[in-house]
Amino acid sequence: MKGCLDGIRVLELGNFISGPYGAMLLADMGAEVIKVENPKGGDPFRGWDFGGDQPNFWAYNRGKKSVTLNLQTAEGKEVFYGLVKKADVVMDNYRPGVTKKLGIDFESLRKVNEGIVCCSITGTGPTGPYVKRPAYDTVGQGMGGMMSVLMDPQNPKPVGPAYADCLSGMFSALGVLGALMARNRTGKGQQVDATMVGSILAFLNAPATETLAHGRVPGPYTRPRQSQTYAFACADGAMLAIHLSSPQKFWEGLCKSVEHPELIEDPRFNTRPNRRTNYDELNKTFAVFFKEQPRSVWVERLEANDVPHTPVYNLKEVFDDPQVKHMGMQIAIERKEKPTIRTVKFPLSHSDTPSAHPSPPPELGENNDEFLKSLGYDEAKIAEFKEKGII
Amino acid sequence: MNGCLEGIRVLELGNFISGPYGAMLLADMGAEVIKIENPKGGDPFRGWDLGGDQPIFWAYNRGKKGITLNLQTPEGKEIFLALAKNADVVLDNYRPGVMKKLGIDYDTVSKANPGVIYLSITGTGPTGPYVKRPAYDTVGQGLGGMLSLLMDAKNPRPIGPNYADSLSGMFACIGVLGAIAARAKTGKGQQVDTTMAGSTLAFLIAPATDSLATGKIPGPYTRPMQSQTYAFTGADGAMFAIHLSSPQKFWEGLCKAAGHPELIDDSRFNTRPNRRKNYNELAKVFGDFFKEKPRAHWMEQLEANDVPYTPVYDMQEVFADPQIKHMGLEIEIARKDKPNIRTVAFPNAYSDTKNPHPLPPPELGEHNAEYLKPLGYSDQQIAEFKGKGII
Repeated sequence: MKGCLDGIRVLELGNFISGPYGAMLLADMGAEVIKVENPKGGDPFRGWDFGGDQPNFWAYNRGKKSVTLNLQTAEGKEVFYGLVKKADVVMDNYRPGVTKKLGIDFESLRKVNEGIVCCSITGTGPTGPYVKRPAYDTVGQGMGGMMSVLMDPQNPKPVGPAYADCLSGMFSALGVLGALMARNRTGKGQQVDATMVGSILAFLNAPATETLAHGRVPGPYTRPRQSQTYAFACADGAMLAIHLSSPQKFWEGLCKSVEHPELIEDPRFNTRPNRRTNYDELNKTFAVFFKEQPRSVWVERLEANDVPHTPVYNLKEVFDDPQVKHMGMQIAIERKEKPTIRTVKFPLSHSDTPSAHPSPPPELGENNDEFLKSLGYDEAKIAEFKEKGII
Repeated sequence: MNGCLEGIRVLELGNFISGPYGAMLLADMGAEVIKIENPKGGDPFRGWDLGGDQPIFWAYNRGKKGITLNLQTPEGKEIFLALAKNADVVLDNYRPGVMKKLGIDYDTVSKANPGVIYLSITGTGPTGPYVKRPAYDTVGQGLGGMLSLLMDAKNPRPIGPNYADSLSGMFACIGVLGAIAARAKTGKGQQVDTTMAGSTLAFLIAPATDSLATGKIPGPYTRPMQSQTYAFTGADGAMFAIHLSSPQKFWEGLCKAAGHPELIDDSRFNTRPNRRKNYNELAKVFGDFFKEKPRAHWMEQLEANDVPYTPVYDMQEVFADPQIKHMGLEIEIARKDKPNIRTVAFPNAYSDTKNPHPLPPPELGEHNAEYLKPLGYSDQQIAEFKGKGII
């Protein structure tokens, strides 16, 4: 088997991040993913206005095939139906109602293939007061509460990666897999809905549940304080971070690492509740110590004292780390006549059905002939479709 | 069916977040999850030093059954192996090597149950130079590059939720589901490994791939600048955010919403590349406009002009939003003799195999008798095991 999902065929109607990421996770486990794109440029992440061939597109589309289809034409829709007959899954991240308008929603497709699993990723679900609003990553992050635990209200500035897009992509993959399990028993497909806002909120289940329990509103520094996470800048300007969590031994190890064992019993810091209360003071006290030596010295000492610690790697340094190398997290994907892609490996390793090395992201419409011919269209017809902008 | 995974039995050897979260996602989809805890207090997230019955424990453990087992005793091990014989999945988040030392690793369990899927979450995998290091969330975030996208190097301070823990929990769930799909074809189980560092890096695949391609190192504000995300504070001090992405219409809508249509063709901002280049200036110009009126006013304007926008909700406001109410994302779980738990619903909706309403998180060892009796242990033996600290 070429991965866990060998033999599963997925049609992806995805643009940008969430849909493509969700479908790619399935491709990483061996599913055959056919990215169905509009013939006029396809997924906007191909980035024609930036010269095309963008790393952002590679990141979310390796391991797939591409077919172009204008779904607003009768012929385009007919080809799509033909593909659905032999597919297991259709994933989309269009605005709510678009697939219905095109006649390719679950209710229409189940008539063509009773076992089809349809998964839609939307901002806030298929119905409700905000159903007509455009939902991009920030909308999911803001509504779901993520931005409130990342931004300073005095000077709000969005930071970090596309959490809502990527999390809803992950939940869509998980949702499809659940539906495929169910199908093994029921023989039937179903509609699965994943949302950006729901995925964010489910990811923030702990701070959400705490707030619902006691009414206190968490901010950006609440969780680091609770979990006793600190970051420090060292003499060489490099950063490191530590995570004391609950075991007392980690606190003792920290004091020994900075050669201040007398602090172990300091009444400000001696218990976990005290360290939480005096988070800022602990931070300030130890920041002075850490400025005295370069990061490499501290990493050695923290390791010797078994304190959970990490250098704060940027995304270039990450790949030079010996453990990350050992894990083989960087992979190279070769392409014909184009530069080799270097990217991140799928983070799951299955001992019996390991993931295959991914193929490169597809060129726009690269696999048109392959799939249209399998549906019985001849070369003349395919040329005609191309001429008419149907593919 | 009571959820997609009805009939799947999972043994969770999990503490803190990653393992419990991964197993809970399976429970949310209908799997029977038995949380196996040490009899001396169980999962540290029960937080006895903070009074016990902690919301953070509820957040990751609803929907499960709970039994206690001292796995360092021959009897405890025997009970575990008997349970594993009839289980589909074992999921653990112990340090590498612990399961083997206890004699309950995949090789051992699979001899009695060749169909078992054994998923281990570790910081950096089962082997390699860091194999002996303790790995908490921050370690995964630092090694995987997440902290570099969230912290200012001049004044480093960890912010936000426990990304590495929760992401590795999600990947664990995906890994288990993939292996169950494979088992449906091969009839065999397997060992699956996922890691905190790898999950974080796979989540950051876009900035990582971009960095590997261009050599440019992304920081906290790189993605917001590229994707054209901005946050503002209204006259009432309430925050909101917008996401302009690539369509030109969103930029035009923003200018109109702010009452400054003359800026549409301003040479600093008129194209997407220009808006990326002059991100800080755009943030300042519009920041000044938006200071003049309260958030509610601007939200109306942004909605009327179809600009992707969101209020920046804190974790309390989230649940008051009409769309979030419509989505049913807040659920309530009743308990005997204890306050009800309000928490977040599983975010995927299935049309056919609907998710069950979750059970409350188990009390420590609540289901000992329920699971020991079918294995043939008598009430007397169960009492004896309890007396000896075996359960």
